[in-house]
Amino acid sequence: MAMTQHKIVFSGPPGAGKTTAIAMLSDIPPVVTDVRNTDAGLGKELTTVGLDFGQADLGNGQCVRLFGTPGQLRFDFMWRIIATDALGLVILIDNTRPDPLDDFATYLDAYADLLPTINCAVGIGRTGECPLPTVDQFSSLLAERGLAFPVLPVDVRRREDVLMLIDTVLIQAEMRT
Amino acid sequence: MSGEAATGSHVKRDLRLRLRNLSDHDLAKVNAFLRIGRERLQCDWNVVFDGEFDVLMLGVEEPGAVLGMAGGSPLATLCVADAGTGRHDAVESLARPLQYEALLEALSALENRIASTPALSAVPRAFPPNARFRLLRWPSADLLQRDRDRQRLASFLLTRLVGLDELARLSHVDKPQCAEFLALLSTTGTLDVVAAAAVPEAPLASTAQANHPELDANHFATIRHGLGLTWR
Repeated sequence: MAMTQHKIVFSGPPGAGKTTAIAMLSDIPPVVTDVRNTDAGLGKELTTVGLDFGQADLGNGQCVRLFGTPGQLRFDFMWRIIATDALGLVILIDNTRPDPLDDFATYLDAYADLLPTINCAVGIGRTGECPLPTVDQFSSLLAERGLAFPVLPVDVRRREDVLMLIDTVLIQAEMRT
Repeated sequence: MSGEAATGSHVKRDLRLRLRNLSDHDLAKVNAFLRIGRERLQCDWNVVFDGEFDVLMLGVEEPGAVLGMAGGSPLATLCVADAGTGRHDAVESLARPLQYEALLEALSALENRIASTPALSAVPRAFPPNARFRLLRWPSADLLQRDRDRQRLASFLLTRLVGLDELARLSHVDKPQCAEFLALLSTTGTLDVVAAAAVPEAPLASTAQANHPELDANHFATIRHGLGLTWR
């Protein structure tokens, strides 16, 4: 039986929780390409320079492959390559970064030609620590661009939060069939 | 009139507060007080400077002068005047300099008064028979309340027009709950409602979908089951 693979991509700035989100869903230890961080502004010891990979086995020869894009802007050429042909795209934002709306705009720009047709969800993390900008401001930024995607406050350490993002992506895919 | 954010007890009602004839200093204070006091208020107060509004806050020289200056047809008018220029003990007036507690007390009193008027009471929204619905933008976090059913229902409404029966069938959410959610959305201006015969809309194939022609309802069920998406 030929294996059916579905690709879901997690994207977002450094520290947004892409690696953690993949780990929440993966049946295998995630393959990460983290190196020691040399950017003091990121405030973390390790950062992803290639991509993260995980896999959830669905049985019957099917699996969901989970990819995380490198967060740093200098690797933006990889983002669209990884997202091409994906069943869904999840954009994660860290609300404690200096300008989360600007981060979000960066990703909207990077994926601009994919967004009108891709199944996408947006997760805003660490809203408890930083309630501003509000989740609604992210939705408004989407609306200004004529886009409408689920925008949900998330804690990627909670599996059910990550699953909720995936579910909203699957719902969009289901509605397009 | 602004929409109600909820017919139940979860979600705050939206009220539009139009500010007129207030100094920049007073504007900044009102905005700051509303932001800080948001949790204390029963309604979501949204400041507007034009268009329709529910409550008018008007800066005046004399509180008694407000009647002829208010304009529009607000549900209530709150006038702001310098201390010592008149009576400020009425709910409808506030003394300058504006104080946080006084503003919140006045708005709370107005909320109670407005809530008891038939104009803002919950009115079931009548949709055309066999109407179909689509969201124009993602609803506010206050409306969704981190409720998984609401988040899922909103997601079903993002991609294409959906009828009530189809929404209930696909989401596995009870039809009355779907209808209530649609009625709620319709008060926010984010829901496009189309009569059934108006536009036959074919499913919209995405680029991703075009690359996954094998996907059908069974595949989605398999993916959900495999990932442990079990709440519906």
